[in-house]
Amino acid sequence: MTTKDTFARAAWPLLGNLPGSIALLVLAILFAAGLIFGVLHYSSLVDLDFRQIRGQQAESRNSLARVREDEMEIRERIHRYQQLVAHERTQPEHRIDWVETIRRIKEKRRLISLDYEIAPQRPLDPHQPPADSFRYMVSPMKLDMHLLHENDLLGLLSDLKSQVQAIVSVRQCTIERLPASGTQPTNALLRAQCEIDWITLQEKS
Amino acid sequence: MPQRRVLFLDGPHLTAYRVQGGALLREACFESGETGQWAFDAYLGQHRRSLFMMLVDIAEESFQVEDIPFSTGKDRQAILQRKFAQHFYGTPYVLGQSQGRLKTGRRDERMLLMALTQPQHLDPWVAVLLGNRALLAGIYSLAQIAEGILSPKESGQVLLLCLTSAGLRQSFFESGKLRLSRLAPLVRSTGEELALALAGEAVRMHQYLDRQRLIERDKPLTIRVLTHPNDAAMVKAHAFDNPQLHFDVVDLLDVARRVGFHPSSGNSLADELFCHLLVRDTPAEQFAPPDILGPFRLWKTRFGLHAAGALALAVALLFAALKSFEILRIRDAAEQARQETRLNREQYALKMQALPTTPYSAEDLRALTNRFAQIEQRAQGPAALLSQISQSLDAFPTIDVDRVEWSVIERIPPAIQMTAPLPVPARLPDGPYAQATVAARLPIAMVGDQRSQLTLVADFAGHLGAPPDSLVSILQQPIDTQSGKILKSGDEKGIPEPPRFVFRVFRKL
Repeated sequence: MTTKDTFARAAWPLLGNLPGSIALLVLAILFAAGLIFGVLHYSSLVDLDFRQIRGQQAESRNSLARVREDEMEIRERIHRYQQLVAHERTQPEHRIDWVETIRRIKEKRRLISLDYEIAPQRPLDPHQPPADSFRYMVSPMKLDMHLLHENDLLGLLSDLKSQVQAIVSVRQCTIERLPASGTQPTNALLRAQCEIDWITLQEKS
Repeated sequence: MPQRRVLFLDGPHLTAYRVQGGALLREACFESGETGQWAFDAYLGQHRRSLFMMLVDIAEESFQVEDIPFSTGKDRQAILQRKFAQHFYGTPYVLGQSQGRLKTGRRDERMLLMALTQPQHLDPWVAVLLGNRALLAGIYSLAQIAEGILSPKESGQVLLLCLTSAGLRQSFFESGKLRLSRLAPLVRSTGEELALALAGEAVRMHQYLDRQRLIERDKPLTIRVLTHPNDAAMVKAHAFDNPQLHFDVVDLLDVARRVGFHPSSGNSLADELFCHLLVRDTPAEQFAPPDILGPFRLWKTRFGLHAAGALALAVALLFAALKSFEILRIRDAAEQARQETRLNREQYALKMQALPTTPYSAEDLRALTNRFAQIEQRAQGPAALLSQISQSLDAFPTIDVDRVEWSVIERIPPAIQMTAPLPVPARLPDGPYAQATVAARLPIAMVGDQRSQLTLVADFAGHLGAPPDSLVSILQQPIDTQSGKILKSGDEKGIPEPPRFVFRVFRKL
């Protein structure tokens, strides 16, 4: 038997172990890589959490630092809300009251003609989440009247604002001079057409 | 690491030593022949996982010094193989040891070529080693190791004489580099006979070196004799200096101390010292052909793979440990921040609780009042803008209004007609705005005076747009003077019409 034959016989069992060693190395590298990536991943999560907490901490510090200003601001807002309540803007709409108010104003100001049409009530902000604790509602009204002077229109709007339990918001008004002919029912010089929103605050219990 | 063992072959015997710290433990000695090989086979069977190095101290050696062209890699190997074939035919146990490059000429590389010329001394033992799959790291000659005895700064020519169990090893060095070595068998009896033999061999070796013209004739050759202190006196008594020889007796125990070895024997035999030097400073070159070292190389490969895996794991674990400390530190800091946040919020909530109560949270209250402010801003009505228009009409009484369209808009639209988009002045930021589009007319008396018409309209627009929160745009002039439009005379025979114009006015709410 030659030296090479002897070597081949001797080396074969060792060669047989080589794949096992390679597999062990691969497993060790995989485990090491997994460990490193796992630690890095967890570290990034901890970092992210820490950054969020630091953000909240800074926000809470700022809040505490400006608590006096916040207090004043919220007091102001409460005051404004209380004004809304005091002016009965938070009451359900009373259309009969509105109709009577319009009639009274017409008579008081001796308006030549006044036609109106109040549409059904709907949310002012249709995209507002329904879960919100309040909602502004709007009842659109169309107004058509004949006038002697534009001040009649301004007076009517002023009276409405002061006498009804809603926020009166004029969206659009068209005032045009009537032709000086004998076809008019009265001696009206102007015609006014307006679109007015009656806005109330609906509070949810 | 496996246990290291040195096999010392001195010809008729193979002695096995176990390396333990700075000492060598003699484990077994095997006679050449079948009986010894069987015993060696049994011995290897008990130490399969050991790492073996074989140190050979036999007389059948050959040394040649050759200068070869400097080269590297396969070229160098080919040159060396050719030289080995020329000088040492018939033995696989050869090696080439570089002794540096020459200073002159083409700066060839000086090689000391060595061979164990009688492979039959080694083959039986090597076969047993391979049969047991023993991890043989290499086969080394004692002559290679002898350099370790000399001082690292040794210069000049030195003949080193050492006693081993095989005989008297005589190694010739030039500037600390081995040039040749020979083993003289020695029959030891008394210390005096040993000293006489040492002196005699030194003389014979000097004569040989002189014949070979390897030594300088005008200088005495330094003979360095390695002996145990017990034998030193006897050696000194018989080794006299003369014009050719200068004897220098070196204490074996001093050398052993210098190289960190603890000798167990009390004589001048340096077998164990050389075995220790082999383990301590294993030479890079060795005699075994590559196929004999196969199991060791496979083991080294596996060891490398295992070491690489262990290193990867260690690095990963170290990294994970360091990162874990950092994570713990961050988590502690996060917990502190969380506690501070909670305390801050509690203090804030306490302050807010002192406020009057409403059905709403602070956020809802903000949203409610903000929206109310928006509604209120847009609910101002037309009075302000109509009043502004009235004032301007009072200032220009010749202008009459036919129609007013008032509305609330969020942004100012670009002008219609052929004009460029209306630039919004910086004084008028974002909306909302009250907007009125007004159709008006000029007095009929101005029908024929187009320049006056345009001047009056411009003056009127200037007056109306004078307040800083207002902007006026003329949508239609009483007469269109643009180059792209048709301009014609009036019909003097028809009924004259008052000049009409349209303007739009914006006012910030």
